[in-house]
Amino acid sequence: MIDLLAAMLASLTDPVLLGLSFAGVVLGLVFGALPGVSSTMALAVVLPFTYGMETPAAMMLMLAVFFASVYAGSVSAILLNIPGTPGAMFTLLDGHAMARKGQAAQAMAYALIASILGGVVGWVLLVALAPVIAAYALNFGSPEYAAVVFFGLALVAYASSGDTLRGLAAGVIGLLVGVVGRDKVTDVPRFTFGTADLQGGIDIIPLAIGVFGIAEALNMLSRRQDAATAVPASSGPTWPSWRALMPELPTVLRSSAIGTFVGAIPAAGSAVAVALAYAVEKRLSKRPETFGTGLPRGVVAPEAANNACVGGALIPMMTLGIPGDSITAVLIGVLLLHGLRPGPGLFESQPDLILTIYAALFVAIVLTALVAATLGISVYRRILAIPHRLLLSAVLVLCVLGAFSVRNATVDVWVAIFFGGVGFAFLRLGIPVLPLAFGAVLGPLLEDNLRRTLMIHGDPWVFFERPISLVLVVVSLAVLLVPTVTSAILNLRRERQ
Amino acid sequence: MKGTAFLATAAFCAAASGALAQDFPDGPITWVVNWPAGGGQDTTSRLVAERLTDVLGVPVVVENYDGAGGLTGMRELAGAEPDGYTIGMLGASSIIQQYTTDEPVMLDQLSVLSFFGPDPGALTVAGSTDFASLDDYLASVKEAPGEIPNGNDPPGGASYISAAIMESALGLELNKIPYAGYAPTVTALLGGEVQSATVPVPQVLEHHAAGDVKILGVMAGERHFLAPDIPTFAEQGYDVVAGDFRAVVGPAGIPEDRAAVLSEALVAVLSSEEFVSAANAAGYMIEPLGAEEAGARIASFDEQVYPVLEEAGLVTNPK
Amino acid sequence: MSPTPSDTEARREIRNDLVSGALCLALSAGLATVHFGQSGRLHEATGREPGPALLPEILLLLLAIAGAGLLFRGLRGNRDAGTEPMDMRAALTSAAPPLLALLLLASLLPLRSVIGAGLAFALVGAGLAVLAGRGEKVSILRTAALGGAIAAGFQAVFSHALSVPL
Repeated sequence: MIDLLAAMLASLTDPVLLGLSFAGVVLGLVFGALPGVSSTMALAVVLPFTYGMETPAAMMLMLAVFFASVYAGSVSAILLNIPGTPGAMFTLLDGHAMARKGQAAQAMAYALIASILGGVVGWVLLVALAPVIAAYALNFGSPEYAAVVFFGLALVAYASSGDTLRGLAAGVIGLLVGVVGRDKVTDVPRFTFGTADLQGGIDIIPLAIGVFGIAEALNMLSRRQDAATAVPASSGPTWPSWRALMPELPTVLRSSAIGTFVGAIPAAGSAVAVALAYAVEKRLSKRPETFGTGLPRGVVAPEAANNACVGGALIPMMTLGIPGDSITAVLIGVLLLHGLRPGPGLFESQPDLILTIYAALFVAIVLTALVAATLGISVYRRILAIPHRLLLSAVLVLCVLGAFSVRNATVDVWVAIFFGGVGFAFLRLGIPVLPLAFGAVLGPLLEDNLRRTLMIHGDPWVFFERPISLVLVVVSLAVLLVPTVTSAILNLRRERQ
Repeated sequence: MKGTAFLATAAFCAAASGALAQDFPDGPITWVVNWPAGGGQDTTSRLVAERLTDVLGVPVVVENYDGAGGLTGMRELAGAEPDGYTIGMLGASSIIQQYTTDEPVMLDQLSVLSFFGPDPGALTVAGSTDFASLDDYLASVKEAPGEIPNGNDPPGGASYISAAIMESALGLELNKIPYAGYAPTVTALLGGEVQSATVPVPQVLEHHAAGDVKILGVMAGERHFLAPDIPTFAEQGYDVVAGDFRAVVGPAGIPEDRAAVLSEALVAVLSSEEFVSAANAAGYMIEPLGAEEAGARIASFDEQVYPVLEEAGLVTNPK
Repeated sequence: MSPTPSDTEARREIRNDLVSGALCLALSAGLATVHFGQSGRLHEATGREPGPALLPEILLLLLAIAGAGLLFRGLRGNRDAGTEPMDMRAALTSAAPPLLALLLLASLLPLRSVIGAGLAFALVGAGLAVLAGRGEKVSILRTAALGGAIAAGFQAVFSHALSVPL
């Protein structure tokens, strides 16, 4: 503890380290705000600069870029309705709705507060409980993973408001999108239409850019220009009052916990974390139908979750040497380039480096808060002052650039444009888009893990034999069945009376 | 360290520019990586590219492509202008994909410039199992064919092929469980979900040292430099050689003189002491070979892997 | 269905049900043709059960059920609401600008290989800005110039600062 404080003090007083962290935060805020520029890519851009640095300096810079870019992903989601990163996919639902109501700055303030708090919770869990959470992540095998995804889908099915049939259609189409590509278990292509481009599957970001970003821009284009369609400039105070903030704290804590734990499971990633956090909050809410209409909670939940993921993803990296996602894979790459091999031995062989990494993340969180609060929000807000026609054109162009940049693949541009058309049709036909996104994110995970479970254990009873999956399956079934059963009983009573 | 590398570089440049009186290269070179940033292909590429910049005197810019299991990047590479300004890293998976995917990039669409090094497979068992030796393990697999779960890549990936080569060489049948890459595979091994895994040595070395897993054998001609105490399969009486490899390639049709410049520069980088120690520290085995020998190595892997793919029923694009 | 919406609203809902139901059924049938027409290992139970063909089959069935449900509800609503012809023209004219925008976006990649990325983005950006600014009292030339400049600027940022090969 004292060692940690000393390390933090050392990095806060070292002008070079502090300067690097500051530079990293600014770069992260700029890159992260560009749609399609994921944290992985922002890190890859900075990577060459770290070759000549000492390891602590390199980690300082990289972690600053990492954390700031995760927060900044919310910017293009809120202002432009383009989900630039997987973690921002659900931020735009309520974030952009708030912007349309003239509350862009407020939405960004909520996003920043939630991001910082989520980051701090993730950091605390990383520092305090890393070995415990790592052990838990190891016990989280395929059956548990399948069960948690099932739990997520159950929450979505219950929580998605509106028409059941249309929701079902959208969700099934989303699940079908997730099936496209080579099957992970047998390597058999499915729905690839004979092209090699679709063999790797449909990437979630071009899909989301299409159904959310392009579709919404097309919808605005289809109307005659009047004041109602443009995003109005922000009015009112930027920062929420304590009174408004207090009720969001439980959401922050729940979402941060989800973010940290999901982040700690290798290959889960922030898309799953935000999907679960959003679904949980919607399920717990007394008025789930208000989600998507510009509810601060709809911004707070995913933003706390995706920034808590940062600390979570570092847990398996620090304790096991296993990258939790593609972002920590780059960080491990940096350590490897510096001749360090992360793994269980790192705690014994490099205790100072561990403390430096903890300190670097903390400094990055603090600097992100300061820079974004003082400069970022006011700079970002100006984007909305651009005339509507130019903003729309820029949004559509950025959607294409963003879709391409994710994997440098031209097929992703076509995917984004195609699903832009699909999303627009959905909007016109009154079909909800959200179940499509959920299906595409969670479907492949459910299928892979379910089939892997059956390959290993042979029969489905294993789900009821393992404690974690048993609890998750029972709770999911309860979530699905209880409302139906209770309303049926109520109906029966009413009829009797 | 840096100083000596620089001197060596300068000396090489002087020699090279004297021997090849021409102006290639006089612009930036693009280095295609067909996987996202952070993976083995990316780390090794950046290790080489950084030093290649010094040797050739022009910037070497790494571009990451992702998608279609590495095929997107390979197509980008094979489709580039063969002027020597676009090169990239080739892995075992690209050789396998020739036979398992639609619209693949075939080996004859590429020109091989140099070999980087092998990344041999290894057999590692979970700490929760009581396999004390390779003999123990193989005996249990033979007792219960198709029952012992082994963690590996999805079909066609390098560690899947390592498992399949082991199966066909030793007449085994494993329950091959696919995971999306090395990280989830190692996690499953640590958690005891699979009893064994066929990932390369660097992925499990730290866990072996910590006693959480046990590496039973290395699938290579000689022991792994990172784990000199672990015997090879051959030493234990089993003829299994399998694993990934890396080589540097460009699109087919690069003019011979330019290919020679690149190939020589690459071998110079790969042979430099400073590079080898940096690469070894990062866990990579280096075996610098010129274009011809590299081509032969790749061809022999090609011949080894095809029957295995055929046996596994993965070939959709027969030779 | 919904509690006393205006008549046009109800009619639009019926039309939406009919169109989306038909589209779901068509999609399900089309994908089923692709799925069952695929030869090779797809329909073998490779590995252990369930094989790779099962989930798509379940999903196609669910999609067909959802489509049939929507179509049925639409038809029933249509019968109840009478047989007045629905005004499809308004829906189609308002869909023209978005379609044009999609075409512009789709022309980006082919244009890029002909005239280069920077110019292609400038042209498409200009076109989109003019499309978005239609009906506004602003100079078309100015809008086009600004839209083109912004698009080309973004392309330059991505390709030079971030070395995105587009």
